[in-house]
Amino acid sequence: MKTSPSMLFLTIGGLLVLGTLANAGGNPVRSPQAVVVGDDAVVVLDRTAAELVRLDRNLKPAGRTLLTGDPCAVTIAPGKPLAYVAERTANRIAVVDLQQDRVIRRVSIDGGAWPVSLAVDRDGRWLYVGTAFPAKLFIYRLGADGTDLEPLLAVPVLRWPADLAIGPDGVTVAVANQLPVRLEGVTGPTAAVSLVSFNPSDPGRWHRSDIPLPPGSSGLRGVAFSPDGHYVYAVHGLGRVRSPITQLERGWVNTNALSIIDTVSRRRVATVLLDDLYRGAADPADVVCSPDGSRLWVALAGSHELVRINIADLHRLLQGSVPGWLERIEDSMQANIWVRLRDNPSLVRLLENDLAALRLARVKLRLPAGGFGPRALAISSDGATVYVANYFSGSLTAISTADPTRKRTVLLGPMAEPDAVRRGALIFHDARRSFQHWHSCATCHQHGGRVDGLSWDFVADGLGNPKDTVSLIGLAETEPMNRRATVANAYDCVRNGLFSTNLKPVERRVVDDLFAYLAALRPEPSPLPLVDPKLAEPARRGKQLFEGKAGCAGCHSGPYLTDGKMHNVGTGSGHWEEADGRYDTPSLRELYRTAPYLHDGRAWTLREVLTTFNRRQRHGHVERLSAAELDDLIAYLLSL
Amino acid sequence: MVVLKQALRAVLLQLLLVANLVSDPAGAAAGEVDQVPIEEVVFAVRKPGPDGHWYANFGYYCEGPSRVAYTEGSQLCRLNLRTGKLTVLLHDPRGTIRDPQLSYDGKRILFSYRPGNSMYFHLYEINIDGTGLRQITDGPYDDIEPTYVPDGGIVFCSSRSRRWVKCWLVQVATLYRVERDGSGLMPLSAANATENTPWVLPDGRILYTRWEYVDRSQVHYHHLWVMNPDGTGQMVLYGNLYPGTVMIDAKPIPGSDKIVAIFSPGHGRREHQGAVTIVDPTLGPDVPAAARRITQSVDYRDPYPLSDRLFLVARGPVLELLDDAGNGRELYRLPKTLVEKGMWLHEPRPVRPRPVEPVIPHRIDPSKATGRVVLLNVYAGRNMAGIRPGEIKKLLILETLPKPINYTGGMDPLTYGGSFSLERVVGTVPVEPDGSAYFELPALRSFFFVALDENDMAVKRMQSFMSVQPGEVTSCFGCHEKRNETASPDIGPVMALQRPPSKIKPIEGVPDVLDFPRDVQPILDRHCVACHDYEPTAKGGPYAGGVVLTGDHGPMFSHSYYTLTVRRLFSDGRDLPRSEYPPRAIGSSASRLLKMVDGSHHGARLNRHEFTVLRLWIETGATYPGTYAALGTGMIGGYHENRQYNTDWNWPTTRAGAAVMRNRCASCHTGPRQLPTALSDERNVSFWRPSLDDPRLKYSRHIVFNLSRPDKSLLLLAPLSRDAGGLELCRKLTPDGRPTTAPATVFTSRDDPDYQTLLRMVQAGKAFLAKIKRFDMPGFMPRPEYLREMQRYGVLPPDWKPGQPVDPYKLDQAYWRKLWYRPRRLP
Repeated sequence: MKTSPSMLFLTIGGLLVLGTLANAGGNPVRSPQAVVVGDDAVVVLDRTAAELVRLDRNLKPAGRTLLTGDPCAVTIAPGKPLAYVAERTANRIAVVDLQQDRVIRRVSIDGGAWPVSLAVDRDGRWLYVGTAFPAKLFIYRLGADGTDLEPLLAVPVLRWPADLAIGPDGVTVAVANQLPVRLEGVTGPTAAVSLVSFNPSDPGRWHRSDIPLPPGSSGLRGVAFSPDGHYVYAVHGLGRVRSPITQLERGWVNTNALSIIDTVSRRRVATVLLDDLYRGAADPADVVCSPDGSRLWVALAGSHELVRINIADLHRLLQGSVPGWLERIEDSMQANIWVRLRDNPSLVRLLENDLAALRLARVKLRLPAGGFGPRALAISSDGATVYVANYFSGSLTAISTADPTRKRTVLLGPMAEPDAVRRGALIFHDARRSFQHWHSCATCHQHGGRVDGLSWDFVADGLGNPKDTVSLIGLAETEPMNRRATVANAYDCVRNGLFSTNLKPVERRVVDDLFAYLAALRPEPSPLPLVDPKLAEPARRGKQLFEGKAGCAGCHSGPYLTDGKMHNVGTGSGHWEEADGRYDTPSLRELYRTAPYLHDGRAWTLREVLTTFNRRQRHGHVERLSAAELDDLIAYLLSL
Repeated sequence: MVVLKQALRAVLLQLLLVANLVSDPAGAAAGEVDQVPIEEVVFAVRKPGPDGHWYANFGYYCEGPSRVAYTEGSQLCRLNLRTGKLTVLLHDPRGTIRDPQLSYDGKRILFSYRPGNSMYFHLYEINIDGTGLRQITDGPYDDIEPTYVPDGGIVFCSSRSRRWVKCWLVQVATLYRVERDGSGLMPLSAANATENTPWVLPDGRILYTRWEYVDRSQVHYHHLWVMNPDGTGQMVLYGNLYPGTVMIDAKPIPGSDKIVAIFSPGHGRREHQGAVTIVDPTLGPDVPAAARRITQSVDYRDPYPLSDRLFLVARGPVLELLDDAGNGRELYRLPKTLVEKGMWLHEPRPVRPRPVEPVIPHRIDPSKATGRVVLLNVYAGRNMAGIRPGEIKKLLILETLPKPINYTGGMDPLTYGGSFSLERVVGTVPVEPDGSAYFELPALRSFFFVALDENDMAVKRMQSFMSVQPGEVTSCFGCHEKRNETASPDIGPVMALQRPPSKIKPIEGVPDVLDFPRDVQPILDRHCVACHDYEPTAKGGPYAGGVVLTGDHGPMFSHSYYTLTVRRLFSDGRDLPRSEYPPRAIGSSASRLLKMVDGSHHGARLNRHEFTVLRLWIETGATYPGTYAALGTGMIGGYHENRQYNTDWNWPTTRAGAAVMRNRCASCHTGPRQLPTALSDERNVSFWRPSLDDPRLKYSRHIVFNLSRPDKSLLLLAPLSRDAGGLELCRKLTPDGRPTTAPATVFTSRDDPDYQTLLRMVQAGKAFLAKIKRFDMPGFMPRPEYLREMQRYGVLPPDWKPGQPVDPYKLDQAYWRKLWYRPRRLP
């Protein structure tokens, strides 16, 4: 991988300067999670240091605002020195005065928990907030000075709205639903973009279209509008879930994609792959469009790179306009894909599986991001600079769009030395740890070790019997590992993850650091009872049923609600490699966020687990429960 | 102070984190060939191989150890480019040194060396100061072209695979690996044709050259492949569809996705010479535009990339520095004394450390005899239009079999312009209705597949091969899916994975390697020769339709075999630079013969077994003999090193016959109708790639001479009147040379002395054939070279003496079996 020596110099230089000045013992871990560009400031959200850092025109840190509650998203009011921050675990929006560098207001979200995305339309009229539980898009009318947030409406969306983009009309929003759901007419679980529009003069009427991405899509974390509003660009992972995991080459397991959605027809018109034939473009985390609509910039959090797409050229190709030099390039003794597409537009779906198409068309450029774990991008209003928030480097890189080899990286402030947990976090999110960089651990275990909502067919427990991705929370406390208990203990599981999933051999220190990171992960209590306090009582009743006549606590016992044994609960698929139908009892912590359920992910709701897939009552004595009791039990389960 | 220390520690940590991002420091600045960014190089000095084939530079020729392909006199040198000082690290005036490579730390050199008192090349290591020479491999085999691999082992090419080049006279070397201490030697490849110049890619895989030809041209497919260092995941990197070019000595260019290689035109040149070419494999394996040739001249060898703009390269006795526009500057030239001896400079490598590529862990299980293959959807792929979902019911699994010895560049007498190999029928595995299949394949053997329909007829045929490592599990998407595509996400649960992997089901009652005279001729005798003979029977004939299907011997083939071939009664890939055919375009489905045996052709109806034999004979390359012992035997005017031998030009009987033909035949038999004037006379028809449209084929030596029943030679029957017992085939010509329907009886009686002369010409051929014996004649003995190699391979016991009887069919099978992988218990 190439980089400019200047980046290296600046990093070391910056460290030396800051290191000598600061109190090395008390420095925070710095993790830029988001970045926005204001009129004369660049504002970076440092998640782990829990502060909003305002950088001046020279990219010097000029002001800091302390935040609380795992701040994870920020947006800026156009034309005003105001920023809005999502304080996730506090279920609040913090309004920050950027001139005074302090929070002047905190607004609690009523009816939704865990705000994870924010956006303001370019006229500053509406603040959009995406919450994770339940998955909703809240729309606030902003007062004249921008500090007043008047709740207008809440539109249900699909699942974990990780990013929002607002169209030029100000009232059409593209929502990136990060995790897959089951959608009608789609052959398997997949993530989808929701296009929501509302009528300000009649806010009760809103419209939502869910546009599915190709089956196997997950990790949808970035959406952007074209400047004219005609298209929405979404970047996401595209898992090849139907293929057994026999090799990583040629994107056999995970690929990484850009999907183009036509907002007029509300259809996905094309999906192209960002990867190269021999090297993945792992974990696309954000996308921005240049103001003139000609370029997209995508942040690859796993590969530590950016991808620049000449989107205007790509649109022309998709519309069948193929330049002469490209027309002449033959592939496999026939016309290449772009020519074939021109002659037969129905072939557009072939692009979803083509790892060379963008290279052939010369519309793709990969370049170093300037740091590790680039998670967020912002582009200046003149389109001259792209800003990259590098999560694991604690830095912001400014890249010249005219000449992407010219860049500057600045550190947000003095940083703590990375300890084992932090080093493990980087390893977990680092796709260079996998063969040809197709994915990182975080690709499947999103949101800090949890799930991707997909089922995968690993070789270790046989072929043809896919398993729903398991959450890694409580790894050390819930041995043995994997649905068929193929690994005895957590440490081996971590080592195997590096070995068999990523095809890299094991260095002791790497395993130790990764293990330290995973062991430090803690379950987050369900936010659902906070959203709806009326759920507290049913949950309490449900707990009694759980421990009583429903018979759940027999196997789902202990602090993580698993006895660590294998049982046959009547969910066997009949596959010859699992003829005994027994599966390792999973932990029930965080059920609210780990759908789908059961060993092969066949159940999308807990109700299905207990009813549809429990006909023989081997998975809880549900027939003994009344309808209200079943609701209570489910309320309890969702509160774990 | 404490703060400073802590800051420094933080710096070091950041350095560790950042380390991977820094590119190779020798990735030079702009392509100025005036700047030489390296201080020292090592290279080998030796004479080029004796033979124009790039691979003919080790081991002995088929004749035996008296004729070798290596040269004598060699040095391993280290040159300081700044001072010009040359240090000879190793010098052997009768030995041969080749293929040096620096260790990752730049302190040792790995190379291949044949000491002067030995026939064999082995792997050695030496320190860069010339001390510590250490031998790594040994044994009666040649080990060449080694490369260190990141896990501490060495991958190299070796003739331990015990097989011969299928279309030349020298031995094959294929990929092996060994640990640095010489232990753990194991094959990575089951290839039957030569592999070359492995080198490690930045992602840890091995890049190498693989030559192959399964039912297609032997001189067109030698391109770039990759595999993991444990031999799994063998797949094409660049090439294998577009014919032509030897792509060899390929190496990754540091700091880029590209590769530099030598592209040798056509079927290559002596010693890997060709044009320096840069390849961008990210565009896909079958994009010709992805290769950019940077030199005009095709005299270059061994490019070593210093950056994407600067390359070390060898040309004759010269070391050059080349830029990516093809501008070269001479850095060093061998001294005159060496040049005069014919010495060349080879394999220049910079002396410096280089980064270790990532290690790809081993995934094989040596205790298993098989690997598993998952085919996700046979219906996906290139050129599949017209196949209905569900049409494919089975995969026919065939094995392409290695040759223990070979004597010439053509395929005679295995086929006439067709396959160079025997192919074994291994059996079938089922394909599920969704197009999926899941089956076990024996490890480390070369297999290929034919997709069969419900009637066991061929829908698509693979013209390449694959092999799996023990315990390997691999999957592929379709039947020749485009290689820059990945698996579609849009398929249902894979049906074939819902059950255990299929074991290959052998085909009952049919030999696994078919032999035309033994297995096919009896079928023709039963159902066809009643009409298609030289004599009439109650059913019909003689010479019905101008077609002869008897087993009479011609000088090289049987008449039936020749006829079936040139009359296109079966369809195969021939020896053409063409593959990736549309469905049902070659093989059983496209073979006319199989459509004529269901009763529709004059009542000829084969039973099920007979049909299966015919079908499988066609699918396995439609060969004449079913044993490689037939090579180089039983032919008049067969070929050795592409020149005919056992020729009859000087036989008195032939000369007399030629004179008769001049007097009695030549006036009409002009142009394409010219008759062969000797049993050996090809009349300029290519012996290895005859066009089946060639009008001369009708008068070929292979059909006009009957060495089993000389009086039934067309040469004699055609001009003989019916009354005299002939076929009266000759026709009078119009003044401008076109045949009329009026017969021209040249001989009205067998007593015509000219007739008798011609008869004696053929009888002499019969007598000669009886002496030299063809494989299908009692008392046949394989050639001594074949028996010599069988003994060397351990197939014939050491105490076997020439003259003791052998069964060549059994010997072949024992030879192939000896090459099979034997599962090992892990210690």
